[in-house]
Amino acid sequence: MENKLVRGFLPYFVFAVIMAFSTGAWAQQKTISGTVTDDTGSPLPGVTVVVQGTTTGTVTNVDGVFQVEVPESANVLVFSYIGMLRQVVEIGSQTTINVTMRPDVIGVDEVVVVGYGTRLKEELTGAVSSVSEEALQVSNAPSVMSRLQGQVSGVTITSANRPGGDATIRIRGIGTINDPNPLYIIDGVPAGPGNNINPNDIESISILKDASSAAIYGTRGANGVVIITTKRGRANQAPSINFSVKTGVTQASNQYDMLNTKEYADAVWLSLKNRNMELSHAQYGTGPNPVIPDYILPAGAKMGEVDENNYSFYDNLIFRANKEGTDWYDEIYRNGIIQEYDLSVRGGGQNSTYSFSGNYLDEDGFIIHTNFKRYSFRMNSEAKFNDWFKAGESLQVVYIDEYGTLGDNSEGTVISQAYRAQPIIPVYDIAGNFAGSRAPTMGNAANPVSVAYRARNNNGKYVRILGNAFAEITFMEGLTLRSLFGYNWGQWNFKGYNIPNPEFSEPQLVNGMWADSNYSLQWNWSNTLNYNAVFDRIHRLNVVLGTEAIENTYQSLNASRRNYFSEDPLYMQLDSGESNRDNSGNGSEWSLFSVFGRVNYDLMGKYFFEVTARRDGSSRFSADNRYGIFPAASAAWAISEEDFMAGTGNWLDMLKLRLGWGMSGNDRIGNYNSYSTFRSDAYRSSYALDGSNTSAISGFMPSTLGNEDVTWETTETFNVGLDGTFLDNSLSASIDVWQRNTSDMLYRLPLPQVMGDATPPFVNIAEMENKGFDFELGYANTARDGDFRYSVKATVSRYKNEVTKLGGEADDYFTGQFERQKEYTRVAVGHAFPEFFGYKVEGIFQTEAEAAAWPAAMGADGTYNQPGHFKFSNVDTTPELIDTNDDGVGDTEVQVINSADRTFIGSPHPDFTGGLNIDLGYGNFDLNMFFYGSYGNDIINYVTRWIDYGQFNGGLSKDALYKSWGSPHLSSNEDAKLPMLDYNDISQEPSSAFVEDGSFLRLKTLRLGYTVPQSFLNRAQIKSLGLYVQVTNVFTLTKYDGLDPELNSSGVSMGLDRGAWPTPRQVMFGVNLGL
Amino acid sequence: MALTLIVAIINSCSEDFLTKTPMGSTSENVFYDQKGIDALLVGTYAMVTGSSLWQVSWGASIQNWTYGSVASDDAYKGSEITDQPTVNEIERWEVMTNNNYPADKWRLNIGMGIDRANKTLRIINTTEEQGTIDAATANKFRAEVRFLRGLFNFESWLVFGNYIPILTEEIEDPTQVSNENPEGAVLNHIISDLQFAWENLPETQAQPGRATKYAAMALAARAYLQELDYAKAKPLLDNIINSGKYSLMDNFIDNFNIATNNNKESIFEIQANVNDIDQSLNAEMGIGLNWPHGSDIGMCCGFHQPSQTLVNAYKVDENGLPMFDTYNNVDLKNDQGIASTETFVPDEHPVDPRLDWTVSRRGIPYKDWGINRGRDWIRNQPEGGPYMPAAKPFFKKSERYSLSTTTGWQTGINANNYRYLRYSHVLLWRAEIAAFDGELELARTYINMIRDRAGNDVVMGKVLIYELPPEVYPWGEEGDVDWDQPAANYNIGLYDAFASKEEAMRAAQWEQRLEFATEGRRFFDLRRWDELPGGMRVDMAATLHAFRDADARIRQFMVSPGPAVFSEGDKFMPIPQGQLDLQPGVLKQRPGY
Repeated sequence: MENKLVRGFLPYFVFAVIMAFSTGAWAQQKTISGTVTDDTGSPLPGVTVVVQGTTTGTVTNVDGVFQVEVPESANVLVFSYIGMLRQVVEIGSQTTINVTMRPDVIGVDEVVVVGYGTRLKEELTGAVSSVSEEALQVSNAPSVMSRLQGQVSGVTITSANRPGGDATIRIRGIGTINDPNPLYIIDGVPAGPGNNINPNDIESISILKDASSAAIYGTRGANGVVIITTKRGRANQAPSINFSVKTGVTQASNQYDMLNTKEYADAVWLSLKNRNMELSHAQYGTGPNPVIPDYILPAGAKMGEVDENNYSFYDNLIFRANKEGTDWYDEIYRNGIIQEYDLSVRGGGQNSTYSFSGNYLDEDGFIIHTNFKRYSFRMNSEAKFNDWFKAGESLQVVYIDEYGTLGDNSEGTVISQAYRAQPIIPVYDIAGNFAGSRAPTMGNAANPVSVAYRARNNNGKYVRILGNAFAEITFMEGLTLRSLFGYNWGQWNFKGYNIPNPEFSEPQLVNGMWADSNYSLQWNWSNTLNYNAVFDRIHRLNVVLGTEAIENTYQSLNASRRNYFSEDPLYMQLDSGESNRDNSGNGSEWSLFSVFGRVNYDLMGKYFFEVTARRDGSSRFSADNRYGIFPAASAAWAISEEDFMAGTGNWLDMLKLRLGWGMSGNDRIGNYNSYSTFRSDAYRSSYALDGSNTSAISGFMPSTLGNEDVTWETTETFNVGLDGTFLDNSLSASIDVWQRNTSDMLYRLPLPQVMGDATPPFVNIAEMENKGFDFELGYANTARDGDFRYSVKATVSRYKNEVTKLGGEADDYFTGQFERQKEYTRVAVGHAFPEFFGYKVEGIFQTEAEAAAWPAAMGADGTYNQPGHFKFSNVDTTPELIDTNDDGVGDTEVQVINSADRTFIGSPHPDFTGGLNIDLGYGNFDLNMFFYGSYGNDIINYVTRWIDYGQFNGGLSKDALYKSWGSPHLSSNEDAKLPMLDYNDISQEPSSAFVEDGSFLRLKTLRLGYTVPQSFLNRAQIKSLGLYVQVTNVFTLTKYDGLDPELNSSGVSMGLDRGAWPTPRQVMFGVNLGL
Repeated sequence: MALTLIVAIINSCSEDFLTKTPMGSTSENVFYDQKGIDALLVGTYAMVTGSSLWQVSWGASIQNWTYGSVASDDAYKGSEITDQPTVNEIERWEVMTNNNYPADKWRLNIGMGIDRANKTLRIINTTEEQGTIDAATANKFRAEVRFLRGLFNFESWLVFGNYIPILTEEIEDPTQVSNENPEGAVLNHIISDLQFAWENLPETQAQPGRATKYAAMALAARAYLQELDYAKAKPLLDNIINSGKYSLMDNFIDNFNIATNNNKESIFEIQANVNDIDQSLNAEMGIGLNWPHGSDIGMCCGFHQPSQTLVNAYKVDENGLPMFDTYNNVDLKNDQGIASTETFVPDEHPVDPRLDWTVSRRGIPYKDWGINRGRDWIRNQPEGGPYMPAAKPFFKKSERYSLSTTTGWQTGINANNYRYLRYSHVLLWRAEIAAFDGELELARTYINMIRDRAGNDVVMGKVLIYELPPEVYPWGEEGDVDWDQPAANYNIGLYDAFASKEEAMRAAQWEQRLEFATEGRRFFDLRRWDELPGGMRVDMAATLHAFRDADARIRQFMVSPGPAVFSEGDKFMPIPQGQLDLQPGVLKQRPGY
């Protein structure tokens, strides 16, 4: 690695030296002087004054006065200052030039927060995107990460749709088969992502996308870094009070198209016919046509046959049939209410600033009995004691309180039970208790209403206290030491209830309660020394040196009991349960100690260089492999500032080329990879040797195998970027082309079972490659003398991911997600992480002859192949030796279709994702539209295995009856969309039949705002008042048949739709008031 | 100055700060004493339950309900066609190499069982070398561990045949051990472990779950029987019989009741316990799906339903003897397709009383759960057949939640031990050998002992009405059920004499079929009897195909969409594809897969 480092650095260093000496010759001179003031008339010190296209220039003094020698030929002076609009002045014959600088309305954008410091946007050499406060307000989502969707390029975000749901964020593809989440830093404190910060508190978010910018985070930077900076008061700012309210309705946007009772009975008959079975059923009678019964429990009973007086709870439940059919989605969906209140107070005096805010969010889910509440408080303050010492703090307390069953994207959730439940089951039985699948032949779905209802008191409470205290000493002009102590404490508590469900076919009749509790406590202490200097006016130098220590402790505690005398949630405490006093808990720790440094050097405002290195020591690795160094270097060239570009001034404002290279690491592989351990396990290593019926003797088992040689995985990134602004800054564009190579990727090299069942250790063996580009384009202008304002901003991101090595063999793979004994995704060398895996379906057999001619499928001796069944591709054409004379020895070669014919059948990775923001303004009205889309990704619609193919005898889709092969409703079997409805499990093998195009374009938000004119407000002493109405998820264009193409599933289950909460449609009204 | 500060910070940060050791687990060196070895031994015993929480479960069951029962003519998969579809492959003899069930069997026995045994043996060796324990103590531990290793190897061998790697504690790199073995090598390895065990284990143990001398002998005898090595099995079985340590319980059902766990008939039982820990899975999770589903009993998930052919096998003639040749010509009446509220008159044809302890059918009391109400008690009759999941491992209603699990969703899991080796096995195996050897009288004696016991006790409670009320029993008029009458027309007779070796062998085989039905043995018995010479041979393929065709009278699964075909290659499960991929060139697939 050391050699690689030197080789990587050398070209940049040489380049830097050459550039440093390549200054031009000077011509005849003249002197120009003047004063620069701001729009209040106060002198502005520190304003840069340069002759356009040269390095000749100066800086204004404390009185705002400058004097500069310029060549006779110079004709334009450029005045620039952070946060002010650049001023360009024709020199002509003037020798005194006084200039008034005006604040740049997008001034805050110009300063970009980077690792342990800030940079001006124009000085950036790496790939850093920053997101402004305004962009974060486009979306309503409670999760900050969700709000970033489509706002920056190079970042792929999928949001979860449950109330308070979090988003999955991937920066520039998927950097590792391990934890690919980026590092989050909130005000200098490493923190988790998500909904535990109030989006309204955020001043800006920076996303460090390449290693040249993220290498300063060393072992934690490989997947990018998200730096969140919260709002503070400003010096000399009069107190400003902002109050906002919004409220609205959330509702589900989609549901599966299921059969009603009559249709369902027809489908049952169709399936019996398809299987040559007797037309007889426990509920629908016997005969050529099914008869809908009046009762389903007792099975198939008619009115008058059942004495309802015999009803007794549990022993003799009576369910009437719902003859029309229960629309389970109607039963579980509702219009939920969302409300949010936000109050903030900010201001500052000469020597101190303050900022307080409080926020309350209350969001109902669109599924009954679900709710999410978040209370957040923040206090940021800062005091300057004298010229050389200041100190400050940030404190955030977030409390989340959520209720109900919030499970997502799995077969056991309320959403999934609603497609699994048959339509003939009523919600309630004749006595008002829940009805369910206890009635014969009703499958094994739980009544979705009962699931939601019984979990209504399940309650998670989550507290996070995060903040820091810092002090800054300025030793001399430009030399500052900053010491920051950060803390991040999270406590999670959950209480859940098992309530008996006697109406269910697989009931649990013993009540119970369980409680989970865990906390994580982390502190970090960072010390940074920052040195800023300008030499000879053209050499700007910034040096950051620092150290950081981080320590994290985690503890968990889980307990449960059974048998409660009363099911009152107040009564159901751990103490009051009478049996099964179970508990578990464990802990872990990790620590990190680092030294880092960064040097930035700017020459003449044209050439920018940055070199970074960090040395990390991590407790996650053995003593011999504990330390690693992560270097990075980058440079930028402001081409537009060159003389030869002088002629482009009328259309080109800025053009900058950036080049970056760097290495960063990932150490998130669990905490104890180097240790071999044994453990005791109440389930897996205990046995009742003494013959007891109710207790086991505990023993020990091998737990983990250690690997002391392991070290972190390293990601090396190359980045080339080009930024430009045109046409008087109305048009801006930026493109980055990048490649990330992950090497030494940690992989749990799967051990064959002859090595035992202890968890194998990670080894540094695998490799992965990501490449792609990020593109942003913006245009903003006004018309009709500024009355009409419009702006458009588009982002496009592309990545291509490939696993290039796993265990060292070209055909290495590991299996991905299994559902119901079948493998759906796989991770293999030469493919993306992950891809869909299964059989290719070439069509449906139409004739006996066609079926007979085809190779036998799935070991079924050819019996599967018949009209109405799938024709699976014979991918592997190696002949199989079969035994025809039954002597146990293969003798005849045949073609068969078996597990070797599975192949890669689709990819969940999009070719492109993009966002489009359109802002239109006229007078006091503003209209914002935000589109988001994904193109080229596939989805496995696993839900269809239940509703199209009849897995587990649950609800069926309309397609199962109307579009399956052999359906009497089809004019021709050639038009069949599905194979014969016969529940054949071979038809349900993972195959291309389940893969659908997941591309979509969605109008995610549409917002109309009105700003009350100032003239009305002045009398009431109101600074500002805005009203708006906002609709989310307005429409979606997609070919996908599931509930929602926007799926929040990651890792090996990426792109697998098991029935996720669809994106809600929300209509919100809001008022923003400023005092 | 700043630099000094930074250097100071770096130096003050010692290596201690970066050293974090795991919590809640330990390293190997704490086990180098008697207590430590016993703890590892208990962890090795834990694997005989044939399950390890969710990691492996139904495919690894020590009761072999899939390979031994569903793949044979004893039982159907049951449940619904789309639940656990990989068992459909096993039932229809169409197993694919990536089927997760055999993969579980491999993982549990080889990856967990044998590996734990070998690690424990290594630690025993180290501890003995260190002088912490003496040789006698070390050998006592070794004998138990080697019994267990013999058991895990035997279980693997039953399912995968000779294509298993022979792994011992001496092997440095198990990944290089081939699974292609010389003829007899696997059996020899199993026997060498079991022989060490019987030579070093006591006749009895204080704790009933521990292996004894006779457990090792009985398992070795079973292993020899798999290869039809009757000569080597015979002295072992005689030893057990002559020890006088074991005798038959009074009633057949005592082998399947929780109250009579670890009784005088037991030689080695798989211990089950519930409700001491969260999910109660120290009872066998491997049969966690095989309980009644829905309706009045409602557990999970209705798998492993006995076949009609099995039920027919219990039919007897007027002498109470089996109808060897004609039993399957006509079905004992069943209620397939008949609603619970419709009239169904049970068959009055005489049957062996063991039928209604083994199979629960309509109109017959089901333990103390009431009268079996037929179709409403079955998860999906057209797909699973008319009989409740195999009754033997089930428990009584009066034991629910005290001796069955109160947690999880497989709520039928209970404290009923699986009698892995018992005296009735020994007697009938010895009878089989006697038949083969022409000791006809000895064979008759042992078979009659079993039949005599079977007649001691029958299911009581004659249902006098044929149209059952919609509610669970008790219902209707007083006197709807006569509890003083046997539930059905039971009859069991003793054999007077065997005319030939063939006749004796047929009786010995039939008796095993009836006595051990649905206990995961039938397929393996058919496999060995397929190798018997002459008139003693039971043609396995013909038997299974006859079953397939006969049971098509009530259930289409084995013939639709086409008839399932059993061939020589289906006698063993494939080596799991995932393991072949991890040991390329070392592990070989069985021919025929």
